[in-house]
Amino acid sequence: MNKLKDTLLKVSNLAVSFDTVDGPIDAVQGINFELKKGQTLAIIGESGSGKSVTASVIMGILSCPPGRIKSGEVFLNNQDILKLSIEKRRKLMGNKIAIIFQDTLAHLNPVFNVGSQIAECFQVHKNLNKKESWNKAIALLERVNIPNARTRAKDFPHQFSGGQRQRVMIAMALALEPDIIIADEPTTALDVTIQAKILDLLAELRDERKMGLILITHDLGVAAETADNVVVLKNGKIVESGTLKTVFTTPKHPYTKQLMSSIPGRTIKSKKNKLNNNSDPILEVKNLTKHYDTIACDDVNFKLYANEILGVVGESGSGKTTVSNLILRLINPSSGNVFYHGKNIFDFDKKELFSFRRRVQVVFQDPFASLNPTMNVYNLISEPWIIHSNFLDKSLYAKRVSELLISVGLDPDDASRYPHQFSGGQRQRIAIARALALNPEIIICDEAVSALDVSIQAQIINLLSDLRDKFSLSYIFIAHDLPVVRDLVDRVIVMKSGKIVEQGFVEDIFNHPNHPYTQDLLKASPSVFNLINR
Amino acid sequence: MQKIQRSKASSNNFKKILSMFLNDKLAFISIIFLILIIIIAVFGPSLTSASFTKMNLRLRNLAPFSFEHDIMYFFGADALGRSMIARLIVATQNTMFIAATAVFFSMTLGGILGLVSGYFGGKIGNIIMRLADIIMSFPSLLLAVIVLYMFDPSLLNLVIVLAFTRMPIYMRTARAEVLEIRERLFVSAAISMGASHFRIIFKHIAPLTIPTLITIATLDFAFVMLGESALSFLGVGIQPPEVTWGLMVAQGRNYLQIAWWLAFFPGLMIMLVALSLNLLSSWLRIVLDPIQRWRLEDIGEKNE
Repeated sequence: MNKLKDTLLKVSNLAVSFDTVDGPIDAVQGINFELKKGQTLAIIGESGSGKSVTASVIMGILSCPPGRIKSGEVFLNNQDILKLSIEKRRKLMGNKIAIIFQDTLAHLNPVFNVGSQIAECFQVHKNLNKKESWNKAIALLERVNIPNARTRAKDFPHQFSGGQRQRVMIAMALALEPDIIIADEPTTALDVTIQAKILDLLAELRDERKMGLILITHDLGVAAETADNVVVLKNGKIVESGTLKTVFTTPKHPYTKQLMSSIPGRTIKSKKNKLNNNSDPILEVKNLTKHYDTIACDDVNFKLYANEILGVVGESGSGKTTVSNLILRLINPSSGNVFYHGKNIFDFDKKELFSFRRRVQVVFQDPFASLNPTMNVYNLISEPWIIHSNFLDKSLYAKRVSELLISVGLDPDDASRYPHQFSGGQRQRIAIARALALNPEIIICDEAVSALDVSIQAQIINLLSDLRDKFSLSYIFIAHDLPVVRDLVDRVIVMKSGKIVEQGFVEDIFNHPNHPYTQDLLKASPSVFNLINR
Repeated sequence: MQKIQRSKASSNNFKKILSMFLNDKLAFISIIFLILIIIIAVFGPSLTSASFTKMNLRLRNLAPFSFEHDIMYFFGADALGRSMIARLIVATQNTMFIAATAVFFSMTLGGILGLVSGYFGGKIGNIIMRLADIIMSFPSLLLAVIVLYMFDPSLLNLVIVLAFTRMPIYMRTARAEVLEIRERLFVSAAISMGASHFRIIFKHIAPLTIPTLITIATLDFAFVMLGESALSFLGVGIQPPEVTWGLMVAQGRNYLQIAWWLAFFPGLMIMLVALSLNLLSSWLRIVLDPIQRWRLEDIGEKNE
């Protein structure tokens, strides 16, 4: 009996399908789980696995049509809320269940200040007057640790940072003291150190108010940090569920196994001896500085040796992308030099720059934006040869495109397809194939795997690693995530506010970080395996 | 071997385009109508050459749809007793020539100037956009009247004036689109590949602006036809006995109460051509967008 009382939410046999032109698509196919008081349930799945659809059904915000709930019940306090009338259901939302979204800027109204947006909850649901509700809103903002809550309440959403906006969203969700909070990818858009703080706050509030927390995430690290129980979704089905520890340490389903093995940062390979620093660096960055209104990158110095992978790590705004754009000569520096084989790239004449462009290639973060949507794969990959027309004879294009597609793990028949017909991971493979087309010496990967799901991330990283050995490439690998870097790179540079705070071999940085910021970063993204065994 | 493949590919392309037309009935009807109009414009006048100036004062303002007279008078006759059919056919050639060339030149020139100004920005961009402002700040009709008074009101001058006054809209639209597209990652990717400015503008940026420009162009087509009629009405455009649809509408306006068909038929033609072009442009917009194209491709018999 006691057990039943503790169950806040029970989803049984839920199935949802979407009607599309190509017939119905089953987004969720008969899933079951339950949430207990004071617990965190993590729903883990990659994009398209049906996790957000499940949340929408619970919240009653699934758009029907095209969505259709085919079967199943959602019990809230032993009451099937799917059978309730819309009016009754609306009363439950916010009161009993609240949701926190990923994109805070889109979900807060930009024309009202945050205080009044929170106060509105009290006015609508509890009929409090203006002053009372305003005071309550401020109390909530204080609770979620917004500094100077009384004055900040009058600020508008865009005046807050991403992390603070997420705190405001949490405050709003807490307003009516719900029993359940659903957090849909609450920290995906945030930097690691801020992510850790938000997750701490959520866990703290859950314990304080004895709430149930449903955490929807694709990030295994986030799940490991907060969850008690885990549900792993794939293609709308639960492939595995159980306590965090059992699922993470002894996964049974092949998909879960693959997922767990693709978690980055398992091992640190010693790579010190692999390099001979006696040879001349192929790329040397000296005192590189770039000012916009603020300093984007300040006195940056590093060297890149042949066949080396150099990781550049830092949070958003740390100047990593500025450095990469400077090396690519997409922008000009305020001062400083970049020497490529001993020659300053900013002194290059047209001809030298052109051959530099052939030797240095780039893979951008967002494979959805870095491929021209009007060109098919064949045209995308062969474009570098058209530009550098003496590189390859035209009659060999088709053969070489096929070879490149095979070497990045795609099908040669894909050449006639367009970028939008591929998944994110496949698109990134196309971008890598294009970068390889001119047999470059250096490839700059600007957050090349950040937008991808973990298992695909692992595939791309393996691919990059294989390609390095095969074509003796050097990479500058830019990332905001330390664990990702650990598997791949030889040396790491840690950046903060445009400055390099620490650089060294990957094992030294990870085992003995010197700078407090590096220590913070490591603490904020601890290895999933340490977390489970805590 | 390669040649065979290529010819095969081109016949495949033709089939593909045909099937994409067949999947959009309205666009299919439109293209057939427009092809008909083009055929009439090219061959029609040489077949009717004599009858379009032949006056028959006994048949002044003859009502249409009567079988008493020659077939050429089926759509009635105008105020001077000239066959409406013959005049419509001759007008087709003039109208289509003026509107098509004017729209084509204003679109290409305006589009290219807009692309260049948006891409390079800075001084060049500023000069080009101020040029657009100057053109726009004059009432276009007034500008046209002045120019055509000073020069000969010939067909060519008319086209030039119409193209010139309609250019700014393309310049501004193209520039606005370029400003956004220029910042996209694939442009950065192209730069870091070593692509020339020419290549980036015309290979990467232009294809994304073309659908928008074509949509504007089809809307503009009707506008140019009416603009031409206004000029002709003022006597600085097409000189009688040459005739255009717009001019026919303008002249027929005086007789609206006693002979509606003088203005109605040319007006109907303008409307049908503009409508067909619009339908065609919305079809073209989908075809030019690889993400939308599947809507028109055969995906099997799933839906039937």
